[in-house]
Amino acid sequence: MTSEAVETGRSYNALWWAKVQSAGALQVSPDTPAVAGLTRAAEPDGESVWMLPTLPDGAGHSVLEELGTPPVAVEQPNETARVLAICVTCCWQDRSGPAWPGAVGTLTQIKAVYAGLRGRPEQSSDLTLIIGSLRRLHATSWLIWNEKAGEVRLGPRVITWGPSQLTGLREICRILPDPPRAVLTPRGPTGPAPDPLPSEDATPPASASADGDT
Amino acid sequence: MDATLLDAEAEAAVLRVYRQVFAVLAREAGAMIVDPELLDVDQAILDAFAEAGSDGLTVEQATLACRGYRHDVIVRRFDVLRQYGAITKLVDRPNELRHRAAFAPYVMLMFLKRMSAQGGQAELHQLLTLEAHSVSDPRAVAEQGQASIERLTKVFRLLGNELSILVSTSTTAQLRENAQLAWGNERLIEQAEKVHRIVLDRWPALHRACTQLRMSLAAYADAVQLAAGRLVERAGTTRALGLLPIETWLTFTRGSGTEVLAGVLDGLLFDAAAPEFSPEGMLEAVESGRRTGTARMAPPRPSSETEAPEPTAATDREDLRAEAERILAGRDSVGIVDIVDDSGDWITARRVLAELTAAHLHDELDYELVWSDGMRIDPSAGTPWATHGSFRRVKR
Repeated sequence: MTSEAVETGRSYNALWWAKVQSAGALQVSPDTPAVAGLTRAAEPDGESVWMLPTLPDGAGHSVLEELGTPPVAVEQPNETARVLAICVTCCWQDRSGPAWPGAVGTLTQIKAVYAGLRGRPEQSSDLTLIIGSLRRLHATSWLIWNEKAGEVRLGPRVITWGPSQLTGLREICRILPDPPRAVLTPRGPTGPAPDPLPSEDATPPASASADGDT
Repeated sequence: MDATLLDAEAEAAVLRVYRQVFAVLAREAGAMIVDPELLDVDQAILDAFAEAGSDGLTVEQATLACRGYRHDVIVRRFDVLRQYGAITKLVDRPNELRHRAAFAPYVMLMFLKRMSAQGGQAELHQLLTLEAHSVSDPRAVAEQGQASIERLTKVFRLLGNELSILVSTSTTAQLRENAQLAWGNERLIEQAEKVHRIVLDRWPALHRACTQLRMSLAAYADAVQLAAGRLVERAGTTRALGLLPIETWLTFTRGSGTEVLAGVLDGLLFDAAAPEFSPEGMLEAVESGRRTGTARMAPPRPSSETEAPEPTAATDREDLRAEAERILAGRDSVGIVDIVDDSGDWITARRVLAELTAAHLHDELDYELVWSDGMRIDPSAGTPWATHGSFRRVKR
């Protein structure tokens, strides 16, 4: 794979770019050589690396608005944004550092913060909304949501949040009620390792791409 | 393709200036210039006259000399030129066929082409230099200074007016096309101020005309600033990213083939289509979530009236009852004069009476305010004039 990459660096880049442009953030093995224009977000255990496009300063969705192009629509945008905000509160514990990779949060925490935000006791209907939002956010790499374990982490896309955006996020964390302190991790020492998390969804594209390159 | 586009643009620019200058004349002559070609026709005709020497030309000779153009076009332009005096008969007699051309229109034509190429700024600079020169001439008199100042005032008024009209009425694209009006404005204003200073120093009596000039200069400077502000504001982030204006992209995408389009996108990396969550948007969602969470939202209604008429009516009633009980202080009836005197000054008494009237009129409260004849007049009291009457409970 490396020889091929060295041989045809340009087409190698083009291939990766095409993959990222069509599929969004990609999870690959850490020995994949760097690709120009792509940011690498390493998983905390160092087992894999996410690749996603580097946004230049000032480029972003504000430019789309200026050009009069509608952004990509999402179902229930407010609900989804709220759940993402809640996940940021739960998973971004070191508020002085970057949001990636963050810690593992649980569905229990999310439900508690959600009820706190709504200012009323937890309701069963909340769960439908929360799970729906989590799935949507997982599909677009904003979150990594492990539905079986009921655990969530911030997705690789959050690595694009710069210092000014982190300031805004700190404000959100200040407004939202604090999540319950005890992070209930049902598994033992292997718990924090998020390997099994993407095994259902995220690994197939990664392995497929690895196959394609070798 | 580029070359032809530029040519067309240059022609259009010439035409624009030409049209502005000659519109009046041409309309009277029945021949507006509607085609850049006509300018070339004019030039060709005048060229032919230059070649012809002192004998002049007849219409037929002129059309022959300009074979490159259609006969009727030449004849029509010839007529137009004759009507506004660019071409005159060699000798002014009825059957004279030969004509001569005046040199002034040709100079004008050259001048116009030059001006349209450079936006007239160079000419304005030269004009200003000339004016400065003429007003500093030791032989110059106050009339010349005044005329000079008035000319400049008009020039800058026209400039400023055109620009501010463009700013307030036209699209950004038009404004950008006419940006030449704003070019080099600082140097222009500086030069005009120099002329102004010379004139004011030499002939202080002209201060009135000078004030006019200062005002027109200031108006021009303002218009330039407004125009620049609008252009910058519109350019926005696209300018910060070094991108071309949107209109240019739209034209380009409409007019280009697949290969060209792909060539532009080569080397650009796009993010996969995904919804965007900015911290601001999340904050907004969280805020709105909090609001809907604490209480059921009332249906949308003007917010000033949503403060529930029902509860205020209830608290109003209780407020009135408390006030009435305070006045009655356990008694069944109180005289108005006592109430007024207890209140001290009229301002307070007026408020108390208003509340008692409200209690009287309230259908759920059993109080009444009864007025009787007669009046108490006591200059030493807080309220010297007070009508008799009483405020009392109603027995039901």
